Amino acid sequence: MAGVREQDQYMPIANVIRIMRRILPAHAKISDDAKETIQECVSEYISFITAEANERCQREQRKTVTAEDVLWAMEKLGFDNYAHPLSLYLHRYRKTEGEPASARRASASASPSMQMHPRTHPHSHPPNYSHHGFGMFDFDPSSQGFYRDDASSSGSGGFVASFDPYANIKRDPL
Amino acid sequence: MVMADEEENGVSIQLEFPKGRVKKIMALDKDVKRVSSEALFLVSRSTELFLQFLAEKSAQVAIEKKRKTVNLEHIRVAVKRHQPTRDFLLDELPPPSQAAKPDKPTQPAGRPKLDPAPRGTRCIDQFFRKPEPENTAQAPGQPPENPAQAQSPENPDQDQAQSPVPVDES
Repeated sequence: MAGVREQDQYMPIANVIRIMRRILPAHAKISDDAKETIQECVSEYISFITAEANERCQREQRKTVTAEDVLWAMEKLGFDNYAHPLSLYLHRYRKTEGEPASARRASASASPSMQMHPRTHPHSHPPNYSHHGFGMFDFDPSSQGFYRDDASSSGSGGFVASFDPYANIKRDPL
Repeated sequence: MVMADEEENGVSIQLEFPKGRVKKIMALDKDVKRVSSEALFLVSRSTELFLQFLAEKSAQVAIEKKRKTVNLEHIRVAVKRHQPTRDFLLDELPPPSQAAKPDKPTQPAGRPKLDPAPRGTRCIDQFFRKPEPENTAQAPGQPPENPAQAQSPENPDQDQAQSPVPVDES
């Protein structure tokens, strides 16, 4: 790919190792070839989810990949165990997005010249967008067998009862 | 565990991966035109969950094999055990021959030594036979005693076999 440095195709190795160390036992070590392979696996995962989410986005004749597209893609590709914790993250993220304009300015300046402009077309969603039924928001604890319980139960118990996936879908344009 | 690190009152929920890098990787797909900030956030967080899952399963495999170092083969086994991950990732992993395998395959069985006796060798007991029946005994005697010939020294036999000839002539 022209203009794309090989370094930019992978997540930074320091971030990858830091997250792995939190999961691995204290005495565990990681071989160098394992580190490189994990880096490639992570990038492959991002491309995999992105392609599927974008496919749904285009099928509905939209131009902007949305959070719902991502959640839908993970359900379809078999990573439905991630859908519930990510819905909680998304809910919290939308609350922080409602903060003063200084926060938006800070996030906007993070990538001023990037190709992707998340908020330049707030009206690109169809009028009936918010009425789509998303099955992935249904709570299904039995499908999270492999996911650590402490992650979803620590400090987020109050969210589950009052979580409304459609309450914050409509956002104010900049 | 991860949520404990987040600053709930901060400007934004802290992400482990830089958003710019995630954007670049997503943009490698030419069909992708625009990505909302929420979608970008979800992909970043989802990638963290995937990485944690991969690390956890690889560590389990390493523990099962009594190893303290997670290597390529442990990642491969962990990927194989999860069908969704296996579907998109197994073909991307390096081939098994390059992986550092802690369990080496058993060596092939040693070849049995079936070397036939070289030509011209004779039985060790030929020296003690009479000159006349020696001619008739060579043909039937050699085949059944071939294995025994392999164990006997060959050069002394040849030297001893030549000495009776002059005696017969005189």
